[in-house]
Parts: sequence; C-alpha cells; structure tokens
Amino acid sequence: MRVTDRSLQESYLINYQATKLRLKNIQDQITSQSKINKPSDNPLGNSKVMRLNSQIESIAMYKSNIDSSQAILGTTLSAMGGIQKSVEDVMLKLTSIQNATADPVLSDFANQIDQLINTIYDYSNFEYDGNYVFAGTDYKNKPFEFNAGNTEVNIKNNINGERKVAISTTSTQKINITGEELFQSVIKSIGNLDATDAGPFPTTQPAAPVVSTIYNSSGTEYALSVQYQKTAANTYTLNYSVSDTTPAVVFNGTINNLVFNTTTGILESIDGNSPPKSVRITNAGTDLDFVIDPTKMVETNSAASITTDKNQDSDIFSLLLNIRDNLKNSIRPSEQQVAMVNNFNKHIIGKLSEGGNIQNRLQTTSTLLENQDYELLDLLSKEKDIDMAKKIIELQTEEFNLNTVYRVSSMILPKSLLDYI
Amino acid sequence: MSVTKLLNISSRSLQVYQNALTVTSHNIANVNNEKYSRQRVSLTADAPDRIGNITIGSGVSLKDVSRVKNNLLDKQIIAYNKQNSYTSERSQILSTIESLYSEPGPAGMNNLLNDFFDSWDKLAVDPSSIPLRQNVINASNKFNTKLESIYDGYNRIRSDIKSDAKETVNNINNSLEQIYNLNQQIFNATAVGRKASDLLDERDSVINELSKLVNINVSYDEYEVANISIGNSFAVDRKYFNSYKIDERNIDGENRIFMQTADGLVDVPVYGGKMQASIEMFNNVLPTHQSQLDAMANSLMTEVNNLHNAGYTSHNPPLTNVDFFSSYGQGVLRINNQILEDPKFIVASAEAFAGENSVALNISKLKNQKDSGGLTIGDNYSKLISDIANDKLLHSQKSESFQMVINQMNIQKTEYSGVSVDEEMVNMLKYQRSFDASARLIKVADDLLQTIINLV
Repeated sequence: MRVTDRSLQESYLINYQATKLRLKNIQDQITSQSKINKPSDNPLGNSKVMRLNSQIESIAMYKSNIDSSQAILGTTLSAMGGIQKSVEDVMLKLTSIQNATADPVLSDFANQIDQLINTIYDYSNFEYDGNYVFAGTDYKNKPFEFNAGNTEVNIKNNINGERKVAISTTSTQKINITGEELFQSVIKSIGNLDATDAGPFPTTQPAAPVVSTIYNSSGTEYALSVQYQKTAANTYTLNYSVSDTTPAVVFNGTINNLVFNTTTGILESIDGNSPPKSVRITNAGTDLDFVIDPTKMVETNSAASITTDKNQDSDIFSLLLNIRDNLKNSIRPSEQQVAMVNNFNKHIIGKLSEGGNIQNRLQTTSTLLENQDYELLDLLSKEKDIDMAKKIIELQTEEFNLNTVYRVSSMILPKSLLDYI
Repeated sequence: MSVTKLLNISSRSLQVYQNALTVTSHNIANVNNEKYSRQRVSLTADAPDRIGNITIGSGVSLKDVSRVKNNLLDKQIIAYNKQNSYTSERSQILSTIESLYSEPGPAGMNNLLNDFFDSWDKLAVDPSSIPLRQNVINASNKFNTKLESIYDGYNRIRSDIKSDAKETVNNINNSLEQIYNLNQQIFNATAVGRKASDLLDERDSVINELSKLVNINVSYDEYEVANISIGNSFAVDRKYFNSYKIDERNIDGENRIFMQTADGLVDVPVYGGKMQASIEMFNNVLPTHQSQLDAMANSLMTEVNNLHNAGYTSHNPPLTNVDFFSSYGQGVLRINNQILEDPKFIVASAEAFAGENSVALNISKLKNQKDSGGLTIGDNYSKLISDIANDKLLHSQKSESFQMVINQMNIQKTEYSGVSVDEEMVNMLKYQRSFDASARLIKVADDLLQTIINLV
C-alpha cells in the first residue's frame, strides 16, 4: 500500500474535522445548557419537550384560574357569612317576639328586623372587582332592588347563571353561588322520563302528577303539581298547577319544548334556549314567587319516575318584609313563618358548606397541580438539560484529543526525504 | 560492436533518462494537484544485435509514459457522489426549514399556539374584561405573525431552490461543453496513437464534479472518448453535446420544476445528485409542509369561528354571528377587522350576559379537542415538526456515512494515483545516477575513438 503526501494530509484533515465537530457539538450544548437546540438533535426528545412545555403551561393556567376563583369565592362566602349572621339575629329577634307581650315592643322589633333586612340586602348585592357576586352570569346588573316604598325586593331574572372555570384538562368548576339558589325558592324536578313512550302523542308522564308543598311570604300553604306531557319524540311540555288547601287550582301554566338529546338523554333546551335554564314563576294573586328547575331531568328507556326537591319554602326577602310589615301592624309572625326563617338559616348554612367544599376542592386541585408541575419540570429537565459535569469532562477529553492531533500532525506531516537529501 | 554503437547507446540512454527525469519533475510539480494522476515511465531494452551466435543488447528506450489510475475506484466514487450530494443537499434545505419554526423554544409555534388558547381561558375567568380581550388579540397576532413568517420562509426557500436549480443546470451545461471539448482533444491524440494523460485527468475531474450535480452514466470507447447520459437522455460524446434547462409548470394548482432538454421536448428523469434534492424539495416536500400548515390554520379558523359566531358580543344590545378570524390564505390568518377596532366584538358568552363564559371556555378547550384522526391541533403540529426533524436527521446521517465512504475512496485513490514526493525523489536520484553513468559512457566512448584516431 502506497502512502502519499496527499493521502496523509487528507486522512489528517478528515479526522481533525471529526474531532472539531465533536468539540463544537459539546460547546453548543454547554453554552445553551440544553441537549436539544433544534428538533433534529433528537426528534423524539423534541416531541416530548414540546408536549411537556404545553402541559406545564396548561398547569400554570389552571393554577392562575384557581387563584382567581379562590378570591371570588372568598368574597362570596364572606358575604354569605354576613347574611347568615344577620339571619341568626333575625331568629333571635323572632324568638324574643314569641315571648313579647307589649305592642310597642313589636314595632321596635319591626325596626330591628328592617335593619337586618337592609344588611341582608346589602350583602346580597355584594361586589367583587365590579361584578355582583350573587348575580349569576349577569353580574354587571344589580340582582336585588328595593321598590320605591321599600316594601318589596325585586329579584332580577337570570341570576341563576353558573360561572365555571377550567381547573384541569378535563374538568371545570362552578365558582359562584347564584342568587337564585341562595335567595329564591327553587323546586327541582329530578328523575327520568320514558323515551320508549311511542305515543300516540300527547301522552302524560308520570301517570299521577308530583306534588310539592310551597308557601307564600305570609306562610300560606299551597300545593304545586308538576306533570310532563310528551308531544313528540324527545320533546315534552311541563304542566304545573298551584292549588290552595281547599284544594282549588289558583293558577297554572306550561313550560314548553323541553327537548332531550336522543343519544345521551340529557335535556338540551327549554323553549328554544340552550343551555336550558330554570323557569321563574310569579303570581301576584297568591304572592308566590318560586323557580321550577327541570334541568337535571333525563330521558331514559325506563318508566317515568319523578320527584321534586326544594331548597326552601319561600324567598327570604318577601318573607322578612312580610314579617316586618306585620310587626308594624302588631301582628306576630306565624309559626310557619318562623319555621321558614329557620329553614332559610339551615339552607344558607348548607350553602356555606357547599362553598367551603368548593374551596377545598380548589385547594386540593391546586396542590395536585403543584405536584404535577414538579414532576413535569423534572421530566423536562431530564429530557432537555445537560449534565454539566459530564459535558465538562467530555470537553476536556476532546480538547486533549485535539492537542494530540496537532502534535502528531506536526511531527508527521512536514517530514519527507527532502529533509535528508 | 563499433564504438559508434557505444556512443549511440549512451546518447539514447541520456535522452531516455532525461525524459524520465522530465516525467519525474512533472509528477513533483503536480504533487498538490488534486486532479492529477501520477505518470509512470516504462523502460524497455532495445532489440539486441546478433553477431553469429552472440546477442548483444542495444540499450534502453522509453516504451511508455502511462497514467496510474484505478477505473473501478472512479466508478464507485461517481456512484456515491450522486447519493451523497442528494442527501447532503436535502439535509441542508431541511435544516433551513427546521430553523423557521424556532422549536423547541419560547418563540416557537407550539408555545404561541398554547398562548392563544390560554388567552381564551384567562378571558373565561372574567368574560367582561376588555384588557383580557386585548390579550386574546395580542396572543392571536403573535401566532398569526409566526405562521406568516414560516410560510414566507417556505416561499423564499422555494424561490432559492429554483434559482439554485437553474444555476446547477447552467453548471451541468458548462461541464458537458467542457467534456465535449476535452473528448475531441483526447480523440485527436489517441487516434494517432498518442497518450493524452493530462487531458484525461482534466476530463475525469469534470466528470467527477458533474456526478455530484445529477445522475450520470459514463462509458468509454476505444479512443478513450467519454459517452455520458443523464437519466435516459444522451448528454455528450465526441461529436455532440446536449443542453438542459429548468422548466416550471403549474400542475394541479401547484408550481413544479422539471429538468428538460433545452429544446423543451424531453423531461429528464433525475434520480441522483443535487438536482434530485432540489426538484424533490421544490415539487413535493415543501408544498406538502405548506399544505399541512394550511390545514392546521384552516381547521383553527373554522373551529374557532363556529364557536365564536354562535355567541354574543359584550355590546348593548349584544351582537351575534361575529367571526373571530375573517380569512386565511397563503399563510396569512386575519383577525376580523371589527375585533381589531373594538375588542368588545370578541365573544366570550353563549348568552347575552356579561359573566357567561361558555364560548371562551369552549374555544380554550379546542387545544385538547381531537380530530377524526384522534390528534389535537398541537399533536398535528408536533407531527409536522417530527417529520421534518426525522427527515433531516435521516438524510444528514446518510450523507455522513456516504461522505465517510467517499473519503476512504479518495484516500485510496490518492494512495494509488497520487504523487509521493519521497518516491519521486528516489526516482529522481535513480534517473540522475543513470544519466550520469550514461554521460560517463559517452566520455569513455569518446576516449576510445580518440585512441583509435591517434593510432592513425
């Protein structure tokens, strides 16, 4: 095998370039502190890094959402705490009233209860960051408003919107307590309707209407009957009627076009509105103001089975104003009214507990997200970051190799027979 | 044997060794000439004289000055050249494309896409906020700008590839003309029995460079004339040479380039060399990437608009049927002008309530929504990046391995055909000594003649 000058030179240059390239790669990694500076450095690793970065960003987003939600919820619970304290004071007053014998004392109690009503009213219109906390999703508009003579609190419609925020990839969390669920009498219709009912339409489900007892602000008892009528496949109307104790129907009505999803059986719309919302019913003659909520109804392939569940018997404002006005006229509150105030107190304590549970869930989720964040950052580091100590050693090794190459080539390359002739 | 014969032998051997020294000096002069193949002197004894039964030699003559060349190595180098050039060129173009995306990093599209969806998530927490709406616009603008810059980058690269392909074809044409001229000169020499070693070296060098540009087939006739074809198209021989050009045509709405004969009659099949990389990247790879970007942008626009225009703005009274993106084309994704002028046109709510946030929530959830192929928009983008990275890595690794083989072959070639200074020094000493000895013989012959003359 002949070894020519050029073959020596080319061989040296090729190996020298390879050493320099290795040195350059190490240098790039040290200066960027990263093993992956472009996708082709490690396509699979790059893909993982991109995915991990997305997940880490999402977690930061959810943590931020939780922090914002905690602030909103904190304000809401604080206001609810104030309301509950005021209601407790009302209950104390009512207990005292049951023992009072003199009329002037009753009018004093009327004034005290009036103050407590105003306190509850102020809390009910509490704001956070310019938004009314009990106004549902219509939070720019004041939810509760006294009329001109302060004899009535007008409850705005649409205070039932749920505010939800994303707290993970798969779940959202309701972060508000609506004015409707707190202050209004909500009768929930719960259960299932029969999808197999093929007509001929209209048909009635269930066979017998479901009856709940409701009260107006004076404590007068009424019976609310609810029954569904199937008008077409997946489509129903809700018929309700209110009777007094005789019993005689005092008023009735219909909620139209409850449309259910053919696949999931979930209620999709009420009277063309999607998502479906509860419906408020008011009647001046009976002084009734309540909400029917059929949004949790489903349609299944089984016989119709329906119950009702109400959060309280009457709205608290009307009740307390009625008690106040009666006290001014030296009329003591009825036992039913006292019981309704007690029920409202239990109701609000229940709602405080619900709010507390939401806070706990947010806190737990926040902790889980923290842990997940640490794990993801750790994975990202393993995928992307260099082991500095190892790289320094590699760098020193390659530098030594380069020096050796220079030395050897300086010994071999310049030599030829010409030096000796 | 007469004294004059002695003189003749000596003077002929002087000439022979002088020529051998000339060849040696030619070799030494070309020691650093990459194209040069060393030349070797072949000496032969002249036909002897017969005197009765005695045979007496007649000296030395220069039989041949031949080029030392390994044709098999040359053929292999040509074969590897076209593959190496193809993979190297493709890898370089893909490297440029890869840099357009700025991944993985904060300026990359992956991050900007996440920021876009996150801006909707933030808006969902406070749907009535104008600053958060402005944040959505900013996040969208950053994403749109990046998309546009990537798309422009592709267009620029395609334009550069086309210019480069035209330059390559010019180089091919120049090389073919050079080979044609050299063929003629070589034929003129070999047809009359002369060697054309230097011309052959020159032509081999041009053929070697040509093999890096395009796929060639080379064959030689008895006169050492090179007949070359490109694809199945005749390129050059002793009598003719072909010219080529780049033709650009619109096929199925997409501009494509082809290598054609200069008369425009024949498309040349290209399957090797730098030209193959240019044509493939221009015609197939870059348009495919751009189509994938188009699909991603169109899908984003459609999905966002479907949710957006079903909801309500925060005006009083609220408006509906408002698109977020107004159009997409050629890498340009435009936000609705109404939104740019008045952020209240951004829809966060499915109902006309300030705190209702389902539209904003649902748009943010598009980040994790899977298409019919089971992939999210981020997955599809990640797949595009992976494809580019794997393509680049594959071809750069192939190029490295081809280059290693070519390097080894080049070393073998220099070992076989290259000039060794030490060897030439030894030859020089050898021929110099022989020249000296022959000169001494002339002196001796002269002395002999002088002696004979003095006898008279």
